[in-house]
Formats: sequence, C-alpha cells, structure tokens
Amino acid sequence: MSQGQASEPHTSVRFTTKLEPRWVVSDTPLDLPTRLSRYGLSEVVNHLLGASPARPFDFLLDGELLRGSLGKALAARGLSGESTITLEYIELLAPPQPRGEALVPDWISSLALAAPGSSVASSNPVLSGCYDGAAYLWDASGVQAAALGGGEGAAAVKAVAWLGERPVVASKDGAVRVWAAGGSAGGAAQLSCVGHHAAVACLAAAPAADSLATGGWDRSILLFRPPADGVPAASSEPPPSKRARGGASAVTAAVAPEELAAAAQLCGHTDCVSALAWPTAALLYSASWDGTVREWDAAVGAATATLSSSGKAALCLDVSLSPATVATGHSDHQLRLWDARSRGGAPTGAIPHHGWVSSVAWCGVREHLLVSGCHDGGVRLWDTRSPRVALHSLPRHKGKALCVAWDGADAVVSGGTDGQLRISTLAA
Amino acid sequence: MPLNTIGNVPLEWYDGFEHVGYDLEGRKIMRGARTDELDALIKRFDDPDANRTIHDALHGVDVVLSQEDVALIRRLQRRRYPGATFDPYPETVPFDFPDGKVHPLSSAPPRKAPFLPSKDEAKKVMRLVMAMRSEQYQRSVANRRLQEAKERPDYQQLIWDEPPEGEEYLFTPEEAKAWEKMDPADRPLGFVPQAYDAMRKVPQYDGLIRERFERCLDLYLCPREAKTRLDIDPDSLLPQLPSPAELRPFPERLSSRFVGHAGRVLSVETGRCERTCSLGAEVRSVRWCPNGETAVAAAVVGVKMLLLLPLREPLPAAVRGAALLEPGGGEAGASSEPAEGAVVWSRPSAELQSEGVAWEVSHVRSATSVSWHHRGDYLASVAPEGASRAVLLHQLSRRKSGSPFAKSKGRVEAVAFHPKKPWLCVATQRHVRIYDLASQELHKKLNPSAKWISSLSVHPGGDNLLLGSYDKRLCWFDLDLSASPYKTLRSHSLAIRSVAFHPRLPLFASASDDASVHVYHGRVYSDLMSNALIVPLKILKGHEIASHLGVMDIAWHPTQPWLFSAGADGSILLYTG
Repeated sequence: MSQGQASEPHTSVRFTTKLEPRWVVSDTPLDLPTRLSRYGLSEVVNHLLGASPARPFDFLLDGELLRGSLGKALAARGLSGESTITLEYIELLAPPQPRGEALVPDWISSLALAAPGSSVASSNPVLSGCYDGAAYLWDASGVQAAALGGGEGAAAVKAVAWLGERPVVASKDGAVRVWAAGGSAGGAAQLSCVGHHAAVACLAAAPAADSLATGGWDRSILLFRPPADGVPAASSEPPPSKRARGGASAVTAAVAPEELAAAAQLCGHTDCVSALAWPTAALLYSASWDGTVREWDAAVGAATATLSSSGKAALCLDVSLSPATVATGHSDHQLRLWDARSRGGAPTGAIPHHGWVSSVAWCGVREHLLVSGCHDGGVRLWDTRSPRVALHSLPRHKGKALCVAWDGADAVVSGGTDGQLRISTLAA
Repeated sequence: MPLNTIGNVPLEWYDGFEHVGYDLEGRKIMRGARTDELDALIKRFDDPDANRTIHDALHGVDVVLSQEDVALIRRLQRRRYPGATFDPYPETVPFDFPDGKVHPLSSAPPRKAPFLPSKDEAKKVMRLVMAMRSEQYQRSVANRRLQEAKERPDYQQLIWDEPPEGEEYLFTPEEAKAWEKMDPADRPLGFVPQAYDAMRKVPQYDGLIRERFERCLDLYLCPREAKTRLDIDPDSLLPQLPSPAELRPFPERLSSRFVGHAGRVLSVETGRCERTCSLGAEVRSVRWCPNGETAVAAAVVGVKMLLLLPLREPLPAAVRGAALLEPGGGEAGASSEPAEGAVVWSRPSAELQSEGVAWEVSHVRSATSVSWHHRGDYLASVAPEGASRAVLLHQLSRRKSGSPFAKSKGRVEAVAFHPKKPWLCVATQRHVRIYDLASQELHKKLNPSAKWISSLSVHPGGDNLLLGSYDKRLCWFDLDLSASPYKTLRSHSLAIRSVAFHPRLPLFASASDDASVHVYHGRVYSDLMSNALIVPLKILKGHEIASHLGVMDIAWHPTQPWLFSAGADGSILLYTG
C-alpha cells in the first residue's frame, strides 16, 4: 500500500443482505476507504463472493440508497466514520430496455395496461387515449390492433381504463363509453355512462371489474355499476335511469350504446377531480386541483380521510398496496408520497421534478419502485429510498410527458405531446 | 637648518664672531667654514652645482638650489605666476545650495552707508521744498484748485442733503399700532422705520451695540447647546411585513410556455391549443364570461366587439351559451325597431360564423378592451377615441347596447364593473370616476397622481381598487378611505400595462414593459379599523422585450394561485405556486 492510500480516510463496514444464501458474505467488519461509491463497494462484495461473472449490487445505508461516495453519505448523516456502519446490499435494477414504440396522430392523454393474467393481456394489453378523439389498442410490442371511436368532430379522449377485459374511454365532452371485451364489437360502444355535465378528467375501474368511477371538471365523482359483459343493461338498471336522447337514437338503436346512469355521486372536492385510483374494492382514492387527496369508502359513498398538501393542485395519483403509500404529482413540481394508513398529516416524502408531475405509476410487484412523467418531457424511474437521484431515465418525450402506466409486471408505457407511445421492459 | 632669530640687524655686527646669530632656543648658530677666494674659484670649476649654489649670509652657509627652486626663479624672472600649475582663468563653476542660501557669501558686516540718510537726496528734497515755498508755485496751485472746483459738482453736499427714498418702508398708523402691540420677540423688525430729510441727519443705529453683543453671545453659547442627533435604527423605519414564505401559495415559478402566436396577444386562458379563430383583424383583448354556466367569450377586434361561442362542445354550459345567443333566443324575441342612433347588434358574415362568432357590435373607432360584469349578462367595451361613445354597455340577454355617457370627460382608458353594487368605474387619462348606473350620477371621483392610467382592477370585495399607469405607478385605492391612493408602489422600471386582482385569493399582480410581472399579497380586512396589508412577494421573469413592449396582459386562474401572462414576444407563460 502506497503512502498516499495509507493517509486517506477509512471506515469500518459490515455487509448484510436479505438475498439468498449463496450471495451472503461474512459479517466481519471490513476497513474500506470512504472514497468508495456504489461501484467500488459492489466490486468489494463480488471479490468476497468470488463470483466469476460479477453481479452488480446496490447498497442501502439507513434505509436509503447509497448515491455518491461513502464519505459524502456519512457526512450527510453526521457520522464520524469511526464506528462500524452496516450496509445492506440488494440486487441492482438493470436499466429498462425499450421494447417498442408507436406514433399516434395527436397527443396521447392517457394510458391503461391490462392486468397480467387476463385474456387481453396476452393479445392487446395497451389502451391509449388520444386527443384526436379515439382510443387505440396496441399489442405488447407497439403494433396497433384497433381504434375505438374517433372520427370527425369527436371530443378529445381524456381518460381510459380496463374494466376487466372491456376498455372504458372517457372524453372531454363528458361522455364515458364502455366497449365490448377486447374492443372487438365493431364501430360502436356497448354502454354509455351519463351524468357528467363537464369534461371528464379521470377514470378508475374497481379491481373486481364490476364498478367504474369517473371524476371531472364538475367536481364530483360518479360511480357506475355496469352490468357484466353480455348481460343486457335493461335487466340490471331501473327504467328511469335510462334516458333516451331523442328520436334519432331510437331509430339507430342497434348502433347507439345503452345509457347507464350513475349509481352514486361522491361530492366533496372543490375543484376539478384530476386523478382516481381504486386499489381495493372498498377504498377509492381521488386527487383534485383543490390540493386535497381523499379516500372514499366506495360502498358507503363517503370520504374517510383527507390528505392535504396546502393548496398545491394534485395532478395525478397512484396507490401502492404493499407499503400502503399514495403517490401524488403536484403543480409545484413535486411528487409527494403519503402514508395511506396515517389518515391525514404531512407527506412522508417528496421527490422534486423540473415541471408539473403529470403522471405517476407504482410498479406493484417491486415495492419502492415507481415511474413518473413530467411536463419537462422526462419519464423517470424512482426508488422511494433514493428521493434525490432517479434510478433510471426512460426515453424522453419531445414536449411534455402526459401519461405513464405499469402493467403490474415488467412493462412500462409512456405517452406524451409528441404522440409517441414508448414501451419499455425491466430486466427480470 | 636652525632659524636665525637675530632680527633685522646689520650682519656686520657679527663679523668678528664665530657665530652669526641665535636659534629659537638661544643657542649660537655657528658660522660655516670660511673658504678663501682660491678655493671658491676651484670649487666653482669642480662642483657641477656651483652655478646654482648661493651663499646665505644670514645663516652663514652655502645653499644648493634644487631644480624646482631654479624653475621658480626663472618663472619669477619672466613675470609669470610662481606656481607651475596655477590656472589664473579657471572654468567658472556656478554653485547653488540645494536648500537655499544659508550662508552669506561674505561674512563682512553691513556697511554703514545704507543706514544713513542720503545727503544727496536731502539736497534734492530741499531744493523741491524751496520751490514749493516759492510764491509763484503757491499761486499756480491756488489757481488750479479754483479751476477744478469750478468744474466739479459738490457730490458730498448733494448726497448729504438729498432726502432718502423708500417711503414704502414707513409704517402706516395701523402697522405702527400693531408693531406696538406685538411682543418684542415676535416683531419682524426690531425698530420703527423713520423718515429723515437728509442722509447726514440719519443717526447711528441705536441697537447696534446690543445686536453685536447678542450675536457674540449667541456664538459664545452656541457650543454649549446640547445637540439632538437623530438616532433611529434604519430597520425600524421599514414596515413590519410578514415573510413571503408564510403567504404561500402564490405563483413562484414558470411552469408552462404556450408558444404559437405570431404578433401580440393580449389575454388568453389555459390549456392545450384547442382551437384557433381567425377573426380578420388585430385582436386587442379577449375575456371569458365570468359566469360558469354560460360559455361565451368576448373579443375586441378592430372597431368591433365580437361574441364567440366554443365550437363542438356539447356540454351544458356551452349549450346554454349557444341558446342565449341564438338569433331568436333570449328575451329580445320580438323587439321593436331600434331607436335612432342606437347601437345595432348584427350577425357576422358566414366565415366568421363558422369560426364560432355569434354576434358583432360595431364601435365608431377602434376598440381596445372589454370587461364583463361578474354575473355575465352585461359587458362593457372601450374605444378610447370614440369621444362621447367611448364606452359601450352591452346586455347579453336583451341583446342591446348603449352609451351611458352623453359627453366625453376625456380619453377613456379602461372600465370595470363594481362586483357588488351597480357601479361602473371609468378610468380616463388622469382620473377615475365611479358612476352609479342605477341613479345615473357620478358617485365618486378618485385622484391618483398618475400621469396616464393604463389599467384598473376592482377588488372582488368591492372596497378596493387597483390602478396601473404608464408612468410606472401602481396605486391601491381604498374607496372607503379617501380619493387619493392608500399606497403607491413604484417598483417597475417601465410602464405598467396591466393589473389584476385574484378573484378568490388575496393576491394581485402587475405586468410591465420591463418584461416582468410583480406579484403581491394584498389582504383586505373586514375590520374597518385596519388598513389593507400589501406585501411584495415575487418578481416573475421569463418574457423578452420585443420592440420596447414587455408583458401586455395578465390573467389569474379563477381558483388556483396561477398566473398567466401574455407577452409582446408572442408567448403566453403560466406561473404556478
């Protein structure tokens, strides 16, 4: 060891892990120079393991991912480096690989991915809403399969969702249409949910695929209970809720969709309801421009909790169940994380962005992992344990990134004002 | 050789002795050996130094002269200077003492002559005195004086005998009485002016000594007076304002930039560019109807005021707006013939109708701005050069327009409706007049010290009014307080183009030609005793100055603390909190 290396600061490090036993090293403290960062520490662990193809690791210090050198991390926590520190190492997430991309004629406003396991998930899992008034179905590699609606004079689509295997499309003229399973029913929608008297902004389907929640600029959330696929609507709906629009619809009854009135209305927001999430059958979460995030009991139709962010308009929302965390994107360039169990109070974390955070999606299978789309065009993959530095950046959009979606496994889809639909996959 | 000290005595006195004299210590100097003539002759031939050997009779010895002695004798014989190296004409070296002549060149005492009166001059003076005493001279002098006296006026006499001017300084009897009554300390004059008929009769000022004394006393006592120096902490002069961080939310950062307009845009609302209307002329101002249930916008284009409908939006608000503006709709159904000189509403041309324009109303001159009543039924448009018809009031439901003023009070710059009372605020170039529309009379007149008002905005509470002017002033009026501004803010470096209150939050902003937007917190208290609190919050930048114009108009989001600004550079910026 040369003279220069001998004088540099060292600290005593003990490695632990929760990985399978063949990746475990002895917990004897090692004396390591503090200039080492993630890469150097990963080399040390690989050397201890004697793994022939080196396997990259990521390191957790006090529950936060180590970014930058060990010395800086110690200084930031006010640790002297004289006592032994414990580093937990985990598997490093490989950068996502682009799987496909597609171009639509206008801005992409919304995206939905079918949950894995359903029949559409194997054929056409990607549903995208577009400002030209149509919703498009894509297969997993970005090949267009079908277009729903659209045409001359159609209002822009603002939200899409999968109701089981049926695509649901909500547009700016207040219409919410449910299409036949897989979008295969030709040129017309199956059901039309009426009740909004302003533009619809968001849409969420219940996990059991029996209910639908929509929120919009009329500040209310409407709950619809569409009948199961194949069952005629008249049998499940009382006659007064069906409103024929006029003589024209009676003539073209074979083409015009059945109308379905709202089963319940949830009032409480004082501004546009901008995002909805329905993670469990009982709980519905809504975000609004009035800056509040509300938790509703979907069965009762009443708010059970309110998370407030001091008047910063919330633009997007997603709920993760395994750590019970709500992520909301705000107009003050922050992505905020809330503990869903705390029922109010301050946010538990904030991730700064460079523009409005327009969309957010949790991974679902890997806790701590989420993806956010920002108005600066960036789509970034975050680990909640590293709130300052993104894990990876997905391909940027020219203009604004408007929507991201995660299929619950390894595929991430993003869309933006450049009309590009980008599909990426995470390495297993 | 010892020196002989015998002095000036004849040497022959010592002829018979062996010695020739005495040295300094009194010992005898012995005579040298006497040689006879023969020996002298022989020696003269033998000795090579014989020709320069002389006999020193005083000491009685023979002395051999050296070469130098011989040369010296030779130079003396030729009447030269004795020294061989002596230069009688040396190069003159002028010398100067560096620090002045401290030493006299000569130490000789001064001569006596300069101290004695000159006898020569005394003689000359005596001669002149004798001449002046002569009778002839005396006579000539007397003649000359007589001559001069004849030619010259007697100024002295003239001045002394002239009566002094300035009768206006004399006291009238009333003034004299008032002077008498006054306290001596309060009298503006310490004396009573009096008239004299000649200057020579003017006495000496009797208060002179006392005044001099008092003045000296003042000067003498002056340093003993305690000096009261202002000892004020500069920070205490600043008002105690809350920190801007406590007054969130307010627009803090640039969030979006809507580019796409060529030329100048004056007022726009949010979102993706849903639709582009080409209205055929320069659009000066656009405003949405503030009533959320009818979706109608009013635009001022050239000399016309247009009412626009949103296209292809089958939402209830749009439907209601369209129904209100249908040709047969509204309450105007079967209206009678328009009165003489009334302003006529007309349907626009086919291509404008396809752009969504429902109605157009013509001004006489080009209109510049439009503003809505908060209920959304009335709106006012301004054409500053329209003289008595500068302001037109339009009613949407009855589809009527009219000019509320019979004659012009000056160039109208902006109008605004009062949010709570049937008042119309009209800003002319220098003043703001508030008219009661119900009773049709002037309710109040405000006097800002601004030179040229550009814009005004009424607080949604109704008791406060904001004025922006082209001479960089932003005036806050409290209508209950006074007709002059409660606060005047001069923070912009160039003309203010637009001011706006937030419809819900305690915020207001001003836009200026210096391409910046200043955001303020303006809280109005319902308590009548406390004045409004104005806190400057943020300077928002982002626009660029294009042809000396910066930010042309600003508009607040109806619910969020978001601010839209339209710039002369063709872009619209959105600032959010």
